[in-house]
Amino acid sequence: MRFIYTRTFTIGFVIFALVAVIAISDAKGYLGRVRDGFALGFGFVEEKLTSGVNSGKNLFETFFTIRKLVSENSSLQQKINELSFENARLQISSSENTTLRTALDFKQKESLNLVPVEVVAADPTGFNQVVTINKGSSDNLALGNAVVVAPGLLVGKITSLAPHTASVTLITDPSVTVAAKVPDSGAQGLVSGEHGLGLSFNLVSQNEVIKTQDNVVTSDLSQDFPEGLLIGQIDSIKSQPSELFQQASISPAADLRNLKFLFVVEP
Amino acid sequence: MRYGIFIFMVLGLMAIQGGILAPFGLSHFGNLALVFVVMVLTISDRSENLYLALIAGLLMDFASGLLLGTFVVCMLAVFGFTYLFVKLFIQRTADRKLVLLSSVLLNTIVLSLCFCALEQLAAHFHLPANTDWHNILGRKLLLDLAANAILTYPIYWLYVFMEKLQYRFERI
Repeated sequence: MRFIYTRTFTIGFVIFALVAVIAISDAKGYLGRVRDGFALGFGFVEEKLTSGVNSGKNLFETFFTIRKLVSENSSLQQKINELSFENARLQISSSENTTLRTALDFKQKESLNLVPVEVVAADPTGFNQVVTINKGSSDNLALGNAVVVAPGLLVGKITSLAPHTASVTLITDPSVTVAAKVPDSGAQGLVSGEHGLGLSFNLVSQNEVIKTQDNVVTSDLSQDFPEGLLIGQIDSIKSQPSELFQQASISPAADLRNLKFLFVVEP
Repeated sequence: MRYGIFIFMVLGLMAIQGGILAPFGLSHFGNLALVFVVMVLTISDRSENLYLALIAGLLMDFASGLLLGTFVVCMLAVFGFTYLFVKLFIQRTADRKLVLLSSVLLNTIVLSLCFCALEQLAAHFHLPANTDWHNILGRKLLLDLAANAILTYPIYWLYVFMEKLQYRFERI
């Protein structure tokens, strides 16, 4: 019993109590304003450093890629022509779709209700793929709201809220799982993150046809994400006849390393 | 003054990791702040090291966006391990740089193990948690070890700079 009168015990007890108070206060949301203050102050410094690095990086990239620009320009011009044609066809299909939906009395698909936000800080510890944005619960954001880069590239979802800031867990974090589909073939599966290294498309049935360069979008089975947000493109496929499901690697459509201006999708 | 310089250094290193390494996609591996804290805990034999570890943990908690307390506990584990490591296994005559490198590598493992244990505990209480410990203790840990080993000597120079800075302030 004498141990409880020692200095070591007192220090240990005080630290235990302190950690417990901090954890409980945070879980209850009492430290929201402290989090806000830290995120905005720390984020300001981080943002200045990132913008400085990016301008230097862009300068070097421009210098090294200037020779490729002519050939890239012609291939992009060709792509614009192809996409313009495809866009025209899609517009016709869209108007046909609207007409047919009205005729069948289906619910009209509403356009996304987007709230513009700005990234103020990124997680420096590397354990989670989390960024902090400059709006929070006082701006009517809610837990689980999808976060996109305009016009509809999926970035992640809100996982914690403070009054004026919120934490967004990126889709490359393994804790985020998204029900997804390939629009071309209708193949369905689950997309999950691989610790910032990319995305994997799992549980795709063997009788579904998927191929590289296919787009992968959120499906209507997603609880947190609206249908049709672009997740990425299939890079490679692992498919063996002896296995029940196919697996594919996806490269994210959004550039998750340089996030600045984002949109929160309000339901 | 020591606390002020320490907090400034930890915040600066976290800002470098999130602000400079992130645009190159390198922010997910290695932990500059951890390497620096381990260096302070290993080299300086002072009674206030425990409080420095606590402060560093709290700063990492705020910066990471995780539930507050996670990194505080992890850094306490790092403090305890470093204390035992230095007291029990290291001779006074041992090569300082080799001791630092082994301390950083071992503490990288301690941090990952402690983080996984706490996340499992958080998941048990239905709190938001990253339970993918296969990846954290597998590929990520290997990459963290490699990155932290590379970062040890540059941060050692920073530590020496901090000591000089502190000495200069104390003289004033």
